[in-house]
Amino acid sequence: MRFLGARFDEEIVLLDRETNSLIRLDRDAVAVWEGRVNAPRCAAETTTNDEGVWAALRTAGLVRNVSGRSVSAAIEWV
Amino acid sequence: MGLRRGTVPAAAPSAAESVDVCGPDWIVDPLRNLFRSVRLAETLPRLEVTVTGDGRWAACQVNGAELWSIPVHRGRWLEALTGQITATMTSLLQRLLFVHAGAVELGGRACLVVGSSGSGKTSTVAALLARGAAYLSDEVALLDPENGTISPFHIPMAIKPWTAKAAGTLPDGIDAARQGPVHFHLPALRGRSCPIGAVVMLERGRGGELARIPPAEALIRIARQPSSFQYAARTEAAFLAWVAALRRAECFEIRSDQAARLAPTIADMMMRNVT
Repeated sequence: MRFLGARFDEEIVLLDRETNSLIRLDRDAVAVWEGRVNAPRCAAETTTNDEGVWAALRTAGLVRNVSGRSVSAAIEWV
Repeated sequence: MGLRRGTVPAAAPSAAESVDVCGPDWIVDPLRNLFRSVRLAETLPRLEVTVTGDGRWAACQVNGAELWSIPVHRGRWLEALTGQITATMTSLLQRLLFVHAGAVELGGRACLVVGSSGSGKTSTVAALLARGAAYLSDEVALLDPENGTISPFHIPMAIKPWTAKAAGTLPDGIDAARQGPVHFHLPALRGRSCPIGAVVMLERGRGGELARIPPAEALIRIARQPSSFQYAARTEAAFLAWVAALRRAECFEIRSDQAARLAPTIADMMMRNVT
């Protein structure tokens, strides 16, 4: 799988294996991701500003109303 | 002045795990003193460091391949070479994971002090040592992914005049070397490998409180430091190990130009959680 994911309380950190970047989703971003909030507030940060990371994030389903794909399918949780 | 070859027992106990320095006496001897107390919980390949007779150029080989060749600043060669050799050692780690951080042991657990150069790491570490903590590291904190402990890297602390002033009282110990106003101080009370208890992120600024931060934020900020995260072959191992470590640790930040002043608060927090 492309992403390794770790949950910390209400937040999530992903490791994108393709770019070796870390992506942090704060509680607002997790709420969007889990479909509890509709507004695509991108309250996330990465260790790079690589546009590819953000594209990957969308593909992975952070902004659910853009991709609509299952998040869990792209992530190996640890 | 002749050249001499000296063995720095950096990754000892075995000579096969050492750093060889070839150069003038006035360089070999202080370097030997600085690395004498360093013992790594991992065997590294031998580093062969050669310094020209005038002390102006240094090169390093590992297994016959040159890793670097650099000019050496005349006025701060000891600090520069120590940093270069330390960075080389951390780049060669295959099992342990490193991050640019200080670390002390308090109450049987490690407190990591993470921040960029100039953020007050050394003075904060020194202030914690003055309050009874045991020294683990000043520049490089080592995380053992097998058991989640912080492993010591006992290289002497580079104490600059302003560091000493910010720290207040320096801990008991010996001066292993000196260059100009910088003295390299090895604290007498040195800690052993221990589980991580807290991570304190330092940022310059105003505020000055010890404020709790989410572990996810601490993880991102650790990954932005010079660390094993920057080595593609080690990023996943670093992620897994730091996730496990931070799930057991408390994470804080201090935004202050005088972080060392909060050492008593950090020490109280560490000791409060001792069971």
